Amino acid sequence: MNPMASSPSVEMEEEIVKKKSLWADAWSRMRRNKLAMFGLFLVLLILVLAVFAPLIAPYHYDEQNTKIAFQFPSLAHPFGTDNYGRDILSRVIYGARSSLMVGLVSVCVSSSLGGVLGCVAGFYGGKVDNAIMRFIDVVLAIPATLLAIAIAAILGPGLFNAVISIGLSNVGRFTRVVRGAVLTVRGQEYVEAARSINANNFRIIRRYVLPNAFAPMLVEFTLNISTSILSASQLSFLGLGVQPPMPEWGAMLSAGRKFIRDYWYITTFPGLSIMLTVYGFNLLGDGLRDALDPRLKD
Amino acid sequence: MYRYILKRLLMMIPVLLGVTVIVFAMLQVTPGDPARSILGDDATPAELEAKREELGLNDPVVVQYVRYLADMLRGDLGESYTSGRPVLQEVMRRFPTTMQLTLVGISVSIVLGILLGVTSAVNKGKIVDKVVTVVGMIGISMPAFWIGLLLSQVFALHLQILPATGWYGPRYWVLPALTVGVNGAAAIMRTTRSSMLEVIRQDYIRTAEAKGAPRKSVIYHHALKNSLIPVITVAGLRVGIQLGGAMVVEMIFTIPGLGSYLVDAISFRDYPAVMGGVLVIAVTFSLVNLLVDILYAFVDPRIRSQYGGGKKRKFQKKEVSA
Repeated sequence: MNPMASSPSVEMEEEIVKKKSLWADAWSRMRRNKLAMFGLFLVLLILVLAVFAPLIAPYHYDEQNTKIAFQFPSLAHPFGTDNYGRDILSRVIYGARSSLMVGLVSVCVSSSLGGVLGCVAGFYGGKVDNAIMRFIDVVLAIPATLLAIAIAAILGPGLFNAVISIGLSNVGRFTRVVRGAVLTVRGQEYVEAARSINANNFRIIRRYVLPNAFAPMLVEFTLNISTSILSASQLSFLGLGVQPPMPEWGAMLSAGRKFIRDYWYITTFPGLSIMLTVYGFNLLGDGLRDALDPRLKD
Repeated sequence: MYRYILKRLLMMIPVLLGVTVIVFAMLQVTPGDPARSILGDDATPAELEAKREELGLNDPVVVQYVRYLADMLRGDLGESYTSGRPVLQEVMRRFPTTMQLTLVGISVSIVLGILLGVTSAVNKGKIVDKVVTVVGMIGISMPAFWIGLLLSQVFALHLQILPATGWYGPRYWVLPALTVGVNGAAAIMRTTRSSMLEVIRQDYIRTAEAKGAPRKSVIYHHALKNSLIPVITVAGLRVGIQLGGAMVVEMIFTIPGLGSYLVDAISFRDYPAVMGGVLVIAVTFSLVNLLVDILYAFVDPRIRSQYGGGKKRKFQKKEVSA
């Protein structure tokens, strides 16, 4: 789990030969991983699309014109038009905004909540650990998808509520990962050393435990973005996510379902967009894991 | 072993009690009035009040919860607000369908996943491996509902060789099971591959090869058997994910299972139905997790010997290291 805990001689040798920090080292390893770089490229591409959507999209996402409804992909409308005559390409580009937003923000919700819970449970151990982890057991007994749907149904549909419900439904998973990472670090000599110079618990967690437990957390963070994007599209597909007219890939698929017999392009392009985005984050997460923990790599 | 299973079954009780508390608390904060959703919009305030009294919604929350628990212990999960029928009966009528879908789906995942994973690990670095890895990564990146739409588009609408809706026999299982299974197959394939690669490096594999054991036997007997633990873990997790994902897949293929029942129940604020459905899924999921842990013991003699001793210290040791 802990990339810095290699044998002392190797570490010293690295100090002398390369003088690279863990992150620079990981980055140089990742740059050699073509798939990971492709993932990074996809993620950045989607990010650019989302941020500059108004500049890139050829039409406004809600520009309706029923005269040109259901048009086959052409030069004017590369992805075709939907049942209201809206340009599918533009809606896909604007849809990146909703998906990325839900993905990133909900992971922030689950990582901050799960991070605090897991850190406290792993670091203090004993009764606190027991209480937190039994609670997490209960939460994890309900499948995350079901939990997200139930919370979204309670909060009502909408972008913000989708973020909250997906974020909450992933807290359990995150807590376990962070607790595991903290547990491996807690027993290390440098934590003992910090305690022996009278550092208080908060300082030990902030200065010594968290930085060393950060790698597995970052990997989980990245991989969690992709699951969150998938859950978000699923919620929208069920009508519990982002509300019209704001385009969202899952909602576009759901709306296009009625027309799949004759107009395949209405559902195919939003589906492909979800797939590529999730694919990008998955590749990036895998690449990060390999780069941060070289022992896992063959 | 039996003591361990018993202990785990007993440990399920507090977890499930916790689930009832969470779901109950969630339903309490849900906006909306069940009395209104039963009687409709043109009910008079007096009628609404009478209905609420009848359903026991005017009592304090704790009283309602204790009453629910007491009924539950007698095997009564209450009556559905919308249909008026006993929830347990309704849930149990739909549960086999969902379970069938989940089991057929997970079988697809396991068979496909292990076969592809082994193939790719054995041919590491070759074209086969590269193709399988890329396809696997794409497989876990596709949302299940899109896979479902694509499958029904191709096989039901255009080729017209398989039915797209309903649940009347094996022919109807193919598309939903594939929909449910593809994500899982990709996940299991990835785990099998990395676990196999880990095992292939071990000394005992070299020994087996050196003593002239046939390649097939080395791959399936020595290597695969030793790489199964993480695969079983992932397969167990997939069951939970698929139970949750069944809600969406059942909607796409209009399968009368627990998932579509729950979606309706949630939208109609049918409290007892939601409680019952979630509870049954949580029980199933917990049992699957237990089954996974028991399977470990069957696959790995080292774990089996830990259970066999029945000494408390060993259990504690295992829990800390996990």
